[in-house]
Amino acid sequence: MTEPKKYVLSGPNGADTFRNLPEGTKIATIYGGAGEITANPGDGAYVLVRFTEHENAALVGQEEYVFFNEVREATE
Amino acid sequence: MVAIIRARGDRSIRDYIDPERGTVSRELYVNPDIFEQEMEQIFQRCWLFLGHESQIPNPGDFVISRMGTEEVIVVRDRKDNQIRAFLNSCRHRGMKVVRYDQGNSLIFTCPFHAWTYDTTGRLVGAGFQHSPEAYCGTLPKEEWGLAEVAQFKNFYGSLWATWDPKAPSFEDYLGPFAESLRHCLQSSDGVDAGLDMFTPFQRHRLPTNWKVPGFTSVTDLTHTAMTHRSASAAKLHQDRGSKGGRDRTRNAAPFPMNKYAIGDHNLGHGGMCTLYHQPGVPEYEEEWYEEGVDDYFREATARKSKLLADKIMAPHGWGGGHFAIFPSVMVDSWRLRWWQPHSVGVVERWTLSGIDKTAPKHVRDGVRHYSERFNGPVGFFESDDMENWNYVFPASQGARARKLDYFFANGKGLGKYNDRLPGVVFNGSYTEEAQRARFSRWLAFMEANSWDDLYPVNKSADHRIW
Amino acid sequence: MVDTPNAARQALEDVVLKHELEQFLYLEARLLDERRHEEWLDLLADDLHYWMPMRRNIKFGDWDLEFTSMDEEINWFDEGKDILAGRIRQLKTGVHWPEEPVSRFEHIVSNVELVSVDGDEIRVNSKFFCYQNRLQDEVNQFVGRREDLVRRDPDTGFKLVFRKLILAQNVMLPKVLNTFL
Repeated sequence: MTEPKKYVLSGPNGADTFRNLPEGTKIATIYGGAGEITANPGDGAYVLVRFTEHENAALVGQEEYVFFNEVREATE
Repeated sequence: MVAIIRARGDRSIRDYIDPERGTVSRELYVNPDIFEQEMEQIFQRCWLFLGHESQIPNPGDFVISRMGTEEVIVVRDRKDNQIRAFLNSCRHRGMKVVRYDQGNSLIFTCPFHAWTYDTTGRLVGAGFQHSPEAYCGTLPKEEWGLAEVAQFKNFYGSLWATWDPKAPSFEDYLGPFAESLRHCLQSSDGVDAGLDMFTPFQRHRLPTNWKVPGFTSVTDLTHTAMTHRSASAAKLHQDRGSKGGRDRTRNAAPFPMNKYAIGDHNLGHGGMCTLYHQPGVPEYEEEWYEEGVDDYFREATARKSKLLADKIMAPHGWGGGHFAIFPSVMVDSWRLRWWQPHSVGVVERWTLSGIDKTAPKHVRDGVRHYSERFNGPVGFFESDDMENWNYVFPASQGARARKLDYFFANGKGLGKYNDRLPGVVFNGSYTEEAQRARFSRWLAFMEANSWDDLYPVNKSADHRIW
Repeated sequence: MVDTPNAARQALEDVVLKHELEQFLYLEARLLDERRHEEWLDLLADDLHYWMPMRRNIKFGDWDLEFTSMDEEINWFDEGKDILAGRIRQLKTGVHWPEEPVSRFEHIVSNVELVSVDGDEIRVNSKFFCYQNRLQDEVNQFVGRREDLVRRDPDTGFKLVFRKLILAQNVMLPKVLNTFL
């Protein structure tokens, strides 16, 4: 089994990579939240994430826009 | 010396217009304080034209428009498909949120601190919104959405808005001209099938006061012979190309009995119009330059004539003229041209034109090419207007020149009320009645404390000043 | 590096052709500056398509959205020789107010690039800078690129068949564009 691909969000190509993260990408936030991208507005700032884990329990199962510097890891 | 008005409701503004002589002080066109007051008293209150629904057909589509000096984002919501309009200014620190002319978006993200708004204008994110060192959960997003227009109207596909919650409905604002506008937004056979507008907006700058073109164009037929002398001399006909079809009828019958100028002093709208009446629209006149376009319109006209038999139609802009909606929109069939003030001496001209959704390609092309070569800075007709409208400003601005008045008395007192047409009606075209009507309404706006003083318009609150 | 007689001949032909094209483009500019509009009109093919799209403010990468479409949208110019001839008739009336008094135009053409040759038809790109000075202090500047297709012609050397004008403006800032670029 191959390791799922981790996107490189730092460095000169990081913003463009973030801008093009596809739907379904797994996202982990620096606050311990986790979920999946349901839409990417392509603005280089946000991805829309449906949370499966969230520090605020009320947001589990909800969608929220996540700012790029709150993303700890993006995985295929 | 006349005092410069500084406060709302200051009646000294009335001193600038002399209804007896039929004059308007040049000060109204060159004084920056008056301009600021106009932006507050007129452009914050009136219904203004934003664009057309066909420019943003899909959920998430947006286009940047203007309301006077300010930009607005006109956007079709992704969920409910509704079109809304928002001031293009971030609620955080005022940055222009959207800098692209048009597009399709999930959210609008400010490039300054990443406050971001969805297509209903709701604030849905901000940079560091979850950081324990930043907002700490104290950003009340529900209070910080984009500033939305107070009222919005999709009128047969045309999009309008006002910043004033107390403004009357769009139909009431237009009064009898609502029906006229509807006719101009119909397909050429008179059916409410909707139009396809040609994107994008045609936009160009003109260094003059917005009222110079805004209060005269489409209601100033005495300018045509001289201003547009070159277009007629070079056989570039002003209307649809260069065949000159309409010239023939104009020369044959200089004043057909159904040609009127109207100026509605209570609403500020007015223009030149033909009153279509039973048995319907007049016989079709060949007027298009491109091959085959006349065939299409001749056939559409026949259907329209049938549809409208027995009806007295509202005045509108096909085959007879055009009209203006206060403060600065010119309307013809399938074409709107309007003036966006930038500063006391700079105005931007916008044009949007279109044609029947179902029109075949050669007709679309004919109408589109006509719009390209007629309008704006490369328009062989309007380029002559631009020169005159431009140099009015510097020649009126000087300390000596601004003490003079402009003459607005052409046809004053010769128009009459008429039970079939709105406002003051002049049988013929060469009057300044509609321009006087706009100043009647202008004064009402400048003096009014709120829409309570401006509407309802009735005989007991007659705003006609001359 | 030129390493065969054929390649050398080709290179020389290209240099000569580029020189001829430059002379053609400079002549065009001079005729317009000297208000010899009808002579300029003679340099246009009867089937000329003269196109200046509008340009949108776009996101990096959205290149397809930048120019208005020739077929569907509003352009600054999208017309043929017949309409251009009409514009010249208008300039000559002596009562076309944005050109009365006449402007001082200076058309500067540079960056001439020979793109391709296909029989009699040649693609040539260039840049224009057009400075307009009129009355006492009215100044307008039109700057941009051109993508031209010209056809060899026995009388005038070449005739212009297609011109795409890429003007570096979004809102047209001058009130009137009354010359040809």
